[in-house]
Amino acid sequence: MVIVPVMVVMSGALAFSAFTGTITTNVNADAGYLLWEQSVTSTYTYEHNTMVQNSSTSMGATNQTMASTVTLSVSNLAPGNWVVFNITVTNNGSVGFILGVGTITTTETAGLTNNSTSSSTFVFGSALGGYGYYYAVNEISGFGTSIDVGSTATYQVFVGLGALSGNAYEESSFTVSIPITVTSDP
Amino acid sequence: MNKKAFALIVVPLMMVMSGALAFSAFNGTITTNVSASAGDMTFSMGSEIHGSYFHNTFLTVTGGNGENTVILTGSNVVTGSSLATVPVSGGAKTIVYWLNISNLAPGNWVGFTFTLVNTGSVGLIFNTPTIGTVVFDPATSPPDLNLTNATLARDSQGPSTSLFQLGQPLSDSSLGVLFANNYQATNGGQGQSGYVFAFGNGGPTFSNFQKSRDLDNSADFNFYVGLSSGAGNGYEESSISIPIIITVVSDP
Repeated sequence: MVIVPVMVVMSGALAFSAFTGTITTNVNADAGYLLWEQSVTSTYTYEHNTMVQNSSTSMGATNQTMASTVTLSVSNLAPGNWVVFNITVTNNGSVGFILGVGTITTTETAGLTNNSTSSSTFVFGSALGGYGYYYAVNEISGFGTSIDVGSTATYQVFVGLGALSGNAYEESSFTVSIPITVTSDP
Repeated sequence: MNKKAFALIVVPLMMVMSGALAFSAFNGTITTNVSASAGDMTFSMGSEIHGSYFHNTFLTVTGGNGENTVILTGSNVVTGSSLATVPVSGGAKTIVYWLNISNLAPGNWVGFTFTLVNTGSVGLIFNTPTIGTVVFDPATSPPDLNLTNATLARDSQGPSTSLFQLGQPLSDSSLGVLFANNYQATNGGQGQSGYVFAFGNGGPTFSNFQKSRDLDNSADFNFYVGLSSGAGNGYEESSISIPIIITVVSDP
């Protein structure tokens, strides 16, 4: 019987081989997105025997991003009439956001003596007094605070024509533009 | 057998995020534009004859304003005949409706139904009709021509009944309040023989006035003009024109 010793020699002179492997860590960073929808949930009109028309029934809830404009209209006001729109903004995106109200601007038919006035919501009780158009924006909930996905914020917009407005206001028109800022929550 | 030590070199990999980087946020804007516009307020006024009393007298009845005037004469002065609708189309904010009756004999009278219609797009309220400055013809010749308001007058039987009764002449007993005459327009005082007018018949009827009327809705009232049976010869060939004034206000 011959025993042949098997020797394993690892010599420094030999090229050193090692098992090698690589862990590759892929870090994918996807950004979320802003997406919201705005809808008119209810309206109320103060009028008597006047067919005040408003467009809220045709305003469906559609998703919007970045800059978007929504237009509501109410027509055929008589002096003293007013309308309130109750509006809801829903976060349909993937990141939280914060809502704020920017600088409100107005335009009116040229030549009216009293144009339009920003007022508190208290003036919109029974018949709206005063001269000219009046408006108010009332934040109900969810403004200035983080809104997470699926949550909502609500606000109201009042517009009306003062009861003392004279015949010069017949068939006049007025627009209030309300920018609602949407900012992702860091 | 030589063993060589493995030397493991671990190079820590650090990721550093520096606070010096600028932080940007996703942002967007919803602009909500709310537009409002006002309606318009107008109405129209028309009339028709609903009764009269005269025999073998050629009356001329004129109603309307300016070019929009209808003249009924003779056999056309009958129940159901229409006078002008003011304005012809659309509507107006203020309407003055002129009513002229001429060639009345003492005791003759004509009754009218006036209809006001909301022709605008907003609700409105019709204020109770009033009479403006009447015009007498002749304007100054004697004797004095009088116009009496018999709206709340009592007849000889006491409580107010119709002074303008179908089939009956206009008497001058217990007439109402002197409204105007052609020497000096005065109100008040006991009524006198002469021209007489009255709203309603036995009392004013303004059931749809001072209340909101919507588009196409109406308000109506009756109006009577006559020459009392006691009017003397001084009224021969005279006539009178009466402006009926309606004002409206939109309903808040």
